[in-house]
This record gives sequence, structure tokens and C-alpha cells, in this order.
Amino acid sequence: MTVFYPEAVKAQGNTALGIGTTTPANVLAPSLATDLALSAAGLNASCYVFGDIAFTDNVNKGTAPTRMCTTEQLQEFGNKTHEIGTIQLVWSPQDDDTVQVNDAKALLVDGAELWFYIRRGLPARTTDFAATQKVEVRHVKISGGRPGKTGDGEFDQFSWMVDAVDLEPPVYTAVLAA
Amino acid sequence: MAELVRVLVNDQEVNVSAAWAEARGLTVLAGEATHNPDGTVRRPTRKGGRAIKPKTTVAEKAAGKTGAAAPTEKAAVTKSAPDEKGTDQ
Repeated sequence: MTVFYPEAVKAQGNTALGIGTTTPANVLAPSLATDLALSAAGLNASCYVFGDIAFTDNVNKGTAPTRMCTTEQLQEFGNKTHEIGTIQLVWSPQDDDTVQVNDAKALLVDGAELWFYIRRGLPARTTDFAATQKVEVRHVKISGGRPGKTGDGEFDQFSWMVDAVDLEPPVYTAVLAA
Repeated sequence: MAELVRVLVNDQEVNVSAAWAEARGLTVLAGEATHNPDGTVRRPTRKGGRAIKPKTTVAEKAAGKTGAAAPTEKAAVTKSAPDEKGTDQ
């Protein structure tokens, strides 16, 4: 018997982040033209993010009180938790926020309510967002912009650090519409 | 803290930074508040300030249609007891 060996998809460089400012009419089929609107109010922020964004979605697990009649303890599921790690953006300290290099800093500002469209599995730098692509959708709120650095070494750069929280549970299986 | 302005995008009023509005040439709604009276940031609204309608997912739409199309439940018909009597053994 031959065992099927599935090809895995390379992750590095293959995560794109589109950011929209408006609430999609259908979160399962967000519109490329009106919801992402990358050339208008939105931004393809893929190349503005250092490293990656740590989205952590977990389910709590715990043990209910045991009964007198048993010596076995089984776990059960509890609340789902959603967390977004600090986002580190490209930042040119001597340029205004209206300059393209600081686009992400200008969009991800304290108090902004945004929609993240995360596309995985296609080259982020060379493949545009397009209809029928599968994306994860996250409705987030931004806070806490502050200066930072990617590190202290000779290869490090200035960055702009922001924090984000989910405003509602993410949707993992959305498909972009035209 | 970046200065927020209220802009009109895709028939929705949203907050963005003044820099972003300028960079993208967005229509700033002069006089529209970016914050609520209690100091919290104002949420996005539809044009005119009404709340954005709750999003309907495909699944919810399908469930709604099924519910609407489903026939109304008829009153249960009482069934008479079987006529045949059991025989004692």
C-alpha cells in the first residue's frame, strides 16, 4: 500500500495582511472593492509588518468538580480566548505620517476600529488580493502606538509598536468577493 | 496620540487618523464627533449616524429562509385507541 504524502505549503513570505476600515456587509464574503478598498481607504500592510502577528486563539480546558462516586477526572472545554500580540510596523521617524513609508502607522492609530484580512498560502509581495481567495477576517481595535526597535543589533531598525484586541470572534473561512 | 477625524467611506462613517485621511484623500466629515460624550471613541456608523446593521452570515440567512419556508406546525391529531382487545392467555 502506498501512503499518501501531502505536500505542505511554505509559510515564510506567504502571509498577506489587508486592512479595511469599513464593516463588511457579509463577513463570509467581504468585498475586495468596498471592504478592503486597498487603493482607497484600506491598505495592503503585508510589507509594513515586522516578523509576524501572533494571533492566539485558544479554548480553555479545565476539570469540573469530581463526584463522590468516581475517581476519574475528565477535562471539559470552557471559554474561547482570542489574543493578538504586539504589532511592529515599519516606521520612518523623520517622515510625516502622510508619507507612504508611514502608511501603516497612520492607519493603525489609537482608537481605530479596523478589519484585518489575513491571506495565507500565496506570496504576499507578488500576488495581489483577488476575488475567490480564502482569508481570515478579524475585527480589531487598535491602541497604544509607541516608538520601538526591532532589536539592538547592527541589522535592526526602528519600528512603531501598536496593540490590538479582537472585537468579535475571528472568521477563518471567508472568501473574498469582487 | 494621533488626531482622529470622521470620514465617509463606502457609505459608512468611520474614524481614521487625520494623516490617513489626508494621504488617501478621504472626505472628512467636518463637525462629526469622533468621540462619545463619555470620552470613548465613537464606533463606526452608517451614513447619517445610524448604527450599522448586524451582519448576517450565509448560515444565518439560510437558517432564516428555512424557518420562513417551513410549514406551520399542525395541531396534533389524537389517535383513537386500537379497537382490538388483547386476549388473555
